Parts: sequence; structure tokens; C-alpha cells
Amino acid sequence: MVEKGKRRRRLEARDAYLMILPFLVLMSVFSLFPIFQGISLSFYRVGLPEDKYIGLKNYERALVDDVLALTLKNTVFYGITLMLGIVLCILPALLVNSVAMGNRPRLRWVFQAAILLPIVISWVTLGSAWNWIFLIGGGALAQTGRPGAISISPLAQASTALPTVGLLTVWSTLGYNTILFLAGLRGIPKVMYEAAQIDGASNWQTFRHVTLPLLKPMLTFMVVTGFIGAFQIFDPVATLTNGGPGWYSASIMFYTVRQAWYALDYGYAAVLGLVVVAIVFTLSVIQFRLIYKRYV
Amino acid sequence: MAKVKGRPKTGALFRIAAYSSTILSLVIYFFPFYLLVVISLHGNIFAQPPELVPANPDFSGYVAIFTNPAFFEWIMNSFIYTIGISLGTIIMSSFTGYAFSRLDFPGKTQLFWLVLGLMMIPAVASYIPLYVMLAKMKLLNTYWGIIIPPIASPYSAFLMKQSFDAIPKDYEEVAYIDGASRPTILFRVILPIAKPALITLALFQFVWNWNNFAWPLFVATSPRMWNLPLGIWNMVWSYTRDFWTLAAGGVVLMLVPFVMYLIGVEYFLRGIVVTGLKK
Repeated sequence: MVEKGKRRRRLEARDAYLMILPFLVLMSVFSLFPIFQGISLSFYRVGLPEDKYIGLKNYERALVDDVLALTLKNTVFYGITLMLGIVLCILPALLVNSVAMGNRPRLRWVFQAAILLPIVISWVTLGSAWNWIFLIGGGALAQTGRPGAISISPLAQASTALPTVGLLTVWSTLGYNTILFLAGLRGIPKVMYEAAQIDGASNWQTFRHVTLPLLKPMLTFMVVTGFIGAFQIFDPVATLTNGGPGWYSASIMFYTVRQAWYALDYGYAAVLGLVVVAIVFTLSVIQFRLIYKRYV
Repeated sequence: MAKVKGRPKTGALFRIAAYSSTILSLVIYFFPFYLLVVISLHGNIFAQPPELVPANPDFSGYVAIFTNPAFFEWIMNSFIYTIGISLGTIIMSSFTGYAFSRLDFPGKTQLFWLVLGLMMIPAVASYIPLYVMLAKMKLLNTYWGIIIPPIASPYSAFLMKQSFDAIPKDYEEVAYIDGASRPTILFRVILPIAKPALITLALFQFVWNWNNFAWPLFVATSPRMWNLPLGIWNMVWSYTRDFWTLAAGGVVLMLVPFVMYLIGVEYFLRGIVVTGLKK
């Protein structure tokens, strides 16, 4: 680059500030400030006639809150489900890829559309559709008149709601994971496979000793993202079960929103929000260190 | 899988497994949407066996949606929020991304760290203090209060910076020596080259904001300010029994992202791969 004069550099800085100023102002007001506002809210009972300072009461309440413990447990369950979903889907994704992504453009197109739809379509639509599927399925089972046939949706039962929501969340992220996965696959040099073939490796051996080790960075990214994603799950819970029955399928994010939204307890909701922020932030920093090493 | 030309033979077991998982996944992925369309056309799904191709399709659910004033208002709100937030975000992240990618200024590294840090804060968690703040500013249930806060999106600014970074600097050096101003360089030189990234961001923004319902849930407390997802969701959980109209609403709701998707499959794929963007 050309050696910059002092004047030019000053002009450059001026231009830069002018360009990012609107962004910085809005970001400070609507992203940065709310964090501090949240910390301050957490010491108050928000209400009429005015907010009352209650010290650490909200935090003390969080420590003994059974619902918080339950929703945290649920969230970890979702995290593990999402991670398992990624790992277990590698093989099917590869199989499907071998069929759909070959020299069959039309099948490839249909298949891409299928797996990408749950990513682009609102959970409000997805949630209603699945609820109706279970309603119909339950009705059909009940009609067969078999003793013990379930007539209510697995989304409405305490024992099955959590795994069902987890499974459907995995279903919705599968397309996303497959794409990341295929991108990782495309990055593997063809020479590796040719070498494996010359050595007479079977499909499985090739997968185990060539594909898998080379995919490790991508897998790390997906697994960590999946776990972080669990702490942000809100839409699937809200649209599939609305947290129910009771709190059996509620994620921590859902519980947080509920505290603010239905209990109108903004002080306590702020504490819960801070718990989520702390967990997600820590996990994200770890992820960043693992993956984007060049920035850290 | 390994695309090795002229592989001697593929195991029959492998092929059976491959084909059956393809078919199975197609069914699992298309069925919910298919079912939604069937219900919206008054297919009698409670019959035994369920009527999966509606014998006499009835479009009254769709008529109801577009004639019902509440539904119509939600659809209009959806469009207003989506277009407002998306446009604002695209413009703002282009400027910000350009400054971070190309210009040198004191405090750049620290500010970029701040953007990265805020990217790691889940948005929904900050909605609670933001709600309290907007309430005090009397901005709840106003178009400004709903559209302005999400515009400064760290994610989008990051995406634009990344794509500008990939453009060689020579182009603008020439323009700069010719005496072009920064905005001219950005609009005439950089943005045309970064068009694929712009389209990716635009499509993602459009789909996100169209589908978003956690944000309006907080700031649009009055039913008149709801968007379509929020409206339908509230109807579902108030146990409305009018499945057909709700399903028609669901179809309308998924139509917009579906069309967006058809327009730009490659851009979606690219966006996901480049940044790991996710809804």
C-alpha cells in the first residue's frame, strides 16, 4: 500500500468514524446498555409505584428455585440431544449425500429443498404442523382400539414432551448441519481418497481413517455450536408445547421470557437472563478460541 | 461420499441403506408442510383413513385470512417490520463493515472486539432490560420501537466485514487516486463486487425478520401491533379450534421464506457455510 500522509490518515479516521457512528450509537443504546441495565435490574423488584431495591434477594431466589434447576436440566438435555443429533447424523448424511448429490441434479434440488425448509420456515408454522401430526396420529391409534393405545400427543405428556421437543429441534437443524458437513467434506482433497483406494481400503475404512479425522475441525464447530444453541432455544419450546406440561419441556430461555412476560417479574427475569448470558458467553469464548484462533 | 471415479463396486448393502435413508428423510422433511397444505384446504384428516388428498378443496380458510381485519393487519405489520429492519440492517452493516475492513482509525481493534463480544450475547436475554427501557421511552407498540433496536446487528456487520476482506484492495486504490470519495468508492466499487454477500445478507435478514416472533412478543404487546407469527401463535395457544384458518395462516407464513429460498438457494448455502449463520 502507498505510504500514507498525515493528512490522509486523519481524513481516513474521520470518514471511518462517520461511517460507524450510527451503528455504534444504536449498538451502545440497544445492545450494550441493556446488559448493564439488566445487571442493575437484577437488584430490584420492578413494579408500581416505583422499583424497589432489594439487594441480592433475586439471586438468593435463583439459588433455591426448583423450576430454574429443572429448566437448566432440560436445557442441558437439549444440548446433549443436539450434539448427539450431529454425531448420529454423519453416517445418514453421507449415505444420503452419495445418492442425492451425485449426477442427479433434480433429486439433489428436491433433497436440498427438503432439508433446508425447516431452517427458513418459521417455528410457528413448524410447531403447529407437528402438533397436528401428533393429534392425527393419536386419533388414528385410539381408533384401532388396541388397549393402551396412546390417544394424546407425546407433546402433551410429562414423560415424553422433553425428548419429543429435543428430537424435533434436531430435525429442524439437520439440514443446517448437513450443509456445514458437506462443506467440510468438499474441503478434503481428492488425492486422499485416491490414495485410500489404491491401498484397497473399504468404504468404512476410508470413512474412519480419512474422512473422520479431516472433518474434526468442522465437527468441533458443530458440536460446540449445538450445545450453545440449546441455551438459546426459545421458539421450538414456545410453539411445540409452550413449555408444558408444567415446566417439563421448558428451556431456560423460555423460563426467562415467561418470568418477564407472564409473571411480570422483570428483576428476577433479569437474573435468569444474566445466567444465560454468562453461560453462552463463556461457551462462545471457548468456541472462538478453538476455531477462530487467528482472532484470539 | 468419496467421489472416486470408476470405483470397482459399491456394496449392495450400502446402496440399499443410501436409498432408503434418502427416501425416509424426504418423507420426514416434506410431510409436515404437505399436511399443513392439506388441512388448510379442508382435507378431512380426522377421517379413517385420513384423507391425504382433499377430495373437494375448500379455499375458505385463505379467504378468511385475507378478509379478516386482524389477520390482514398482522400480515401488513409483518411486511413493515421485515422491510424496515432488513433495509436498515443492510445499509448500516455495509457502512460499518467497510470501515472495519478498509479504514484505519484509533480504537478500531477495541471496537471490533466489542462487536465480536456482543455477537456472543444471546439477543433474547437482552430483550428484558430492553423492554423495560423501551417502556420508559414510551416506544412500546410503535413502529420505531420495533424497527430501530434490531438494526445495529453485530452479526450482519461481521458478515459484511468478512466479505469485504475478501476483495482485493487494488480496485479502490485506483478509484482513490482518481479522487473518488469514500461513499463513492463504497457504492460504486466495493458494493457491486460484494453483491453475492449483500444478497446473502438480504435473504437471511428477510427470512429472520419475517419469522421472528420473540422480539415482537416483547415490544408489540397490543394485538394490533403483532406480526403474523405472533398472531398465529397466540391463536394456536388460545386453543382456537378453527384449524383450517390457522393452517392457511401457517401456509401464508411459510410462503414468503419459501419463495425467498427458491430465489436464492445458492446464497443461503453460501451464507450458512461462510458464517455459520443460523436462525
